Amino acid sequence: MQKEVIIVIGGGITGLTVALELARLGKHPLVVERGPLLGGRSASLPCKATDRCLKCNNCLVEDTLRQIKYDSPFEFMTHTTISDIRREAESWYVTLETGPFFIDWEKCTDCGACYEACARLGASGVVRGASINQHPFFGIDQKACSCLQKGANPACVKECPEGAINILARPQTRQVKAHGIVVATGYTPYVPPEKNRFGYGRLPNVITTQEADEMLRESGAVTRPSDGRVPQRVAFVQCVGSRDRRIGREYCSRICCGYSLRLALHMIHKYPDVDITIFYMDIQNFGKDFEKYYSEVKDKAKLVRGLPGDFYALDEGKISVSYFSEEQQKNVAQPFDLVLLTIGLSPQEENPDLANMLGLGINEDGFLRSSQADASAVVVAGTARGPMDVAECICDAKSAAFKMANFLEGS
Amino acid sequence: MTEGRVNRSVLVVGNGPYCFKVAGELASVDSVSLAVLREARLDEMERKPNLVELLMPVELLGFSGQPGEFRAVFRQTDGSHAERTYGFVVVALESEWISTLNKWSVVEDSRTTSLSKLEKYFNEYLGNIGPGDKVVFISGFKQNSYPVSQEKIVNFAAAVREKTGAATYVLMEQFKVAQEGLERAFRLARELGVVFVKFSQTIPEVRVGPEECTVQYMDEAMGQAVKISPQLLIFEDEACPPPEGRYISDLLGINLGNQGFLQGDFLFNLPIYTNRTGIFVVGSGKGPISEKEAEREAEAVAEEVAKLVCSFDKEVVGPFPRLNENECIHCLTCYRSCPHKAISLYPGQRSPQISPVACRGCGICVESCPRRAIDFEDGESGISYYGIDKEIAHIVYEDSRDVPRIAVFACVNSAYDAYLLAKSRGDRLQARCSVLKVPCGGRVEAAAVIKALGSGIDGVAILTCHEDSCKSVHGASRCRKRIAAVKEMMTKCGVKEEAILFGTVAPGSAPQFVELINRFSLRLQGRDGSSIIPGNAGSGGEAR
Amino acid sequence: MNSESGKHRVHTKPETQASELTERLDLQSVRSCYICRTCTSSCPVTFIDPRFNPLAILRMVLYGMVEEVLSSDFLWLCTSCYSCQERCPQEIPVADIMTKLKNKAFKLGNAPVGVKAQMDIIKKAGRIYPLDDFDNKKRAKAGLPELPTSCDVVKTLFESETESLK
Repeated sequence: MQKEVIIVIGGGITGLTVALELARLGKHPLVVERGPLLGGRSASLPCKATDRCLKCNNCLVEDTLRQIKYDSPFEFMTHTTISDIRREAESWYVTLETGPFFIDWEKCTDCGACYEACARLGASGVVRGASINQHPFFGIDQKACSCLQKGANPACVKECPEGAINILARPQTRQVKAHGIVVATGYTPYVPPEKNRFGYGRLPNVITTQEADEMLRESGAVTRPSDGRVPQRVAFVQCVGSRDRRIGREYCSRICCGYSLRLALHMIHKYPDVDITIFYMDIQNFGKDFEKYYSEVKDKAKLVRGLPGDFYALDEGKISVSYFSEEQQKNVAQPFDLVLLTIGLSPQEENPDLANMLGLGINEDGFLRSSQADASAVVVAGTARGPMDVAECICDAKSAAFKMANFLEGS
Repeated sequence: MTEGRVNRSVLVVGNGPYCFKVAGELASVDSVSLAVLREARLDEMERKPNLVELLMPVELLGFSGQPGEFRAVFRQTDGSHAERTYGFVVVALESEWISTLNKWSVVEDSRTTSLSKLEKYFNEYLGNIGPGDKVVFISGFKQNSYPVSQEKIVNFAAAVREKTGAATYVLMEQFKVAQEGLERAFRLARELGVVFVKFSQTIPEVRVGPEECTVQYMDEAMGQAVKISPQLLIFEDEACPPPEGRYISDLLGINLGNQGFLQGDFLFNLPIYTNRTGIFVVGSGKGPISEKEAEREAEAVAEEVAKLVCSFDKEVVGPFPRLNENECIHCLTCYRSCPHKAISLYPGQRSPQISPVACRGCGICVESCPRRAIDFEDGESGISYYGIDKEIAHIVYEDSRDVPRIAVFACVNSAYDAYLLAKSRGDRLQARCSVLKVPCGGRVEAAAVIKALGSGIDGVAILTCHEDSCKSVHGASRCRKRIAAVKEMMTKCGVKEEAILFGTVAPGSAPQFVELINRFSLRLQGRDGSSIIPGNAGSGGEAR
Repeated sequence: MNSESGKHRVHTKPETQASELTERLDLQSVRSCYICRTCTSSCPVTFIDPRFNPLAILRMVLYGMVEEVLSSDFLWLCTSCYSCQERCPQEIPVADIMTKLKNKAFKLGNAPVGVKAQMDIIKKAGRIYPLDDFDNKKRAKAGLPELPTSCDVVKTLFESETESLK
């Protein structure tokens, strides 16, 4: 009985859930992740609970990662990309390339010697998981390896007691014959361009909410990058990179109001003296108890309906934000200690190439769409299809696994 | 193990066209029985070969059992009773859209209507509108709005404008555009000439009487008041939970949300689960969702069932409890404590039975049994009263007096992960800790905590998940109450209550774990100068 | 642009009148506006004089109140800095719309006295600040070259007035 291999492109929450489900349905998924670790962006989501759960969904991610860590239900490859893909008869012939610089996770014992060696050099070529449930826990970010940049042999290779770190002349290739493909390549967070009016990239205390999330996860608090202190006055600017024709993003990223307002509530809870102002156009629904969250936000933060115009540097890393005040019916400028840009979800740059390769469609916003012809052999799931939150990704993943399993049964 | 009696068929409970879709998806997995609580149109449903039975309309009278052997009793239209057994249940009730005219003190007539009525008789309404006329849509203000209904408003407004040339206005509190293509649809409607008005500080004033029909509002963006006398005024409906929701949730023993929508607000129910294994909720009964999303949910639940059918596999990491019938005194405490209703009483059986499929290994029953008649299969006695001594022995006899010795009961779903991460990162703990992994805060025995203290160590910390994101629903809150009671007892015995700490930690949050333990350590050393810091659960603070 | 909250009542104009003027001036793009307020909060004038509010002007045009805008004094506060147009996420040419409105208002004779006066000075002297011999003497003392006191080329620009001003 031939093994029915299904390649799952992408090892984030969606890809992992698809693989988990397919494995449990008796199929053989192979997760192909181009990054060093499994878990994707959702692994660095922090918990934003106040005195009650705000349902930011990070528990669901932890749960999934834990299952994979302890059960090892499916095969996966990290540091791996697809270099060639061909359809012949009813199968896909896929060429996978791993490395050339990578940790062989089958030999790795998560001891962390490589990470320490890299840290001693003050570099960040070895990356560590944000969640202890990410397995493998260590990986290589080739682009960030300072040893390679200097043309030297990476220090971590010698340090590894298991000899698990490989630096080859060429990537390692592997040919796989697959009966189906699930595309779970996710999204890329919007990054404001070099010239932007928010001061991002110019003013140290203007950061994106994604950076704030990572900070919160790593250190337990959101602080000002300039001096590491807890901010007193914080501004959130909504819809950065979304709902904007000018930059070709004429869609709502759906989850930003949710994740940013939860972050605001968390910060207010942790630091009751903090003063938060949220500049918005429209507030989208999030969570089933939306009205409760929304009234709490209205109560504890200042909501200003209208996006701010200018952001200027003031002393001590403060930022002057100018906006139209509805109460005063004129423009005012206020100083803030920290400005958080609530960024949207952008489609991946590779989407058109991927669509070409696999016969998929692309929607008006640049996200992938399952093609109509031969639809079942390739299924798109998760944020690769469009903005959605973790719970929706999980649901989408299950539905994709179902479609794929049905297709395999039918053929 | 009830392997022999496992039934794999699925019962779908619905009240509208959606449940037919769900049944259709499930029929490709195994045999499906569809119980529809109201008359509904059948034309959406192709007769699938695996649809064993269609009961419509029917009343669900009784429900009992466990996954693989749920028993349902129906009363059919002819009054007769029917009893069936199912492996799984999918609740596919739909929410209702109720007219909001009465909230505006408006009576429906030829000039005023609800969105759902407009949808039903759109062409008739359209026929009466001409180029000089005015049409106004009102969304939000008295209830929350959703992308699903705003999408309808935008489409209708665009159609009205395009087909009749009437001046069309849409008054909204928020543009709910979080759905594919909706932002663009809004813009296209605006480009056709539909005027959208947004409100933050004020709400429109509606006056409808025999002689007048006016809408007056402050256009906040313009800073001027506007008065319109529309020929047609349409109010958005309010999304209401299915009326059968409460009754079904009571009967099936599944949680209900705050506003009466199905599924409850419990995080671990997302996306399509309930607190009971084998019982699922899909569709708008949990809250308004788009058709596409509802379709995905139908497919996702079919996958869940297929998975369970494939192997009664569960997503629990850990051992399972077994009940010693000789010790059981039939107090039914375990039956009442189980958050997943995994413990059942069967006629003819001497003791309660724990369903291995439904059980999620939280251990709340183990803790709650007054006779200790339940224990875990692999005997994780290390955290129980009998085994705790041995577990923490390695710190009891430590001679180092520079830092306190603390036993930490850490929930595997949150604090234990946090501890592992802290260890891996090399975070410095200012205490000598013996960290004990527990499947849930609800498993922590008061006796074990007291015994640990009695062994001579300096402090005991019990760290669990945040109360309302406890995987076992009430495990963390039961733990908190238990520890509060222990503290009270301890103070009466002359033991300082500061020696016991109850705290909650976010999953895997090393910073919170470290902060909690280090602050506890300072307190134990009498060095922080303050008394117990009041409950600040979200930031990993201490709670009483 | 303050609202005399509620005291100033406006009946919406019959559609036909509004769309005529809006169409002729090609101001349909105001429809795309989704009230994000970026234009207003970016406007340097709104800081100084709240009577000028780009969003409010766009809304008035949308409601067909174009004549009111054309006869207003606040319209002329726009400095054509183009911040609004640069930033509008709906790509509405806000500054160009202000210019169109100003041109129409001028035609209708509604321009503030100062604007007319400026126009006359430019026609005559080729610049807004007219120079004369006195200024040139001062320039010579400071070692700066002489500048012309009139500029006929500019005059010819006025004579070849294009249709857009009509």
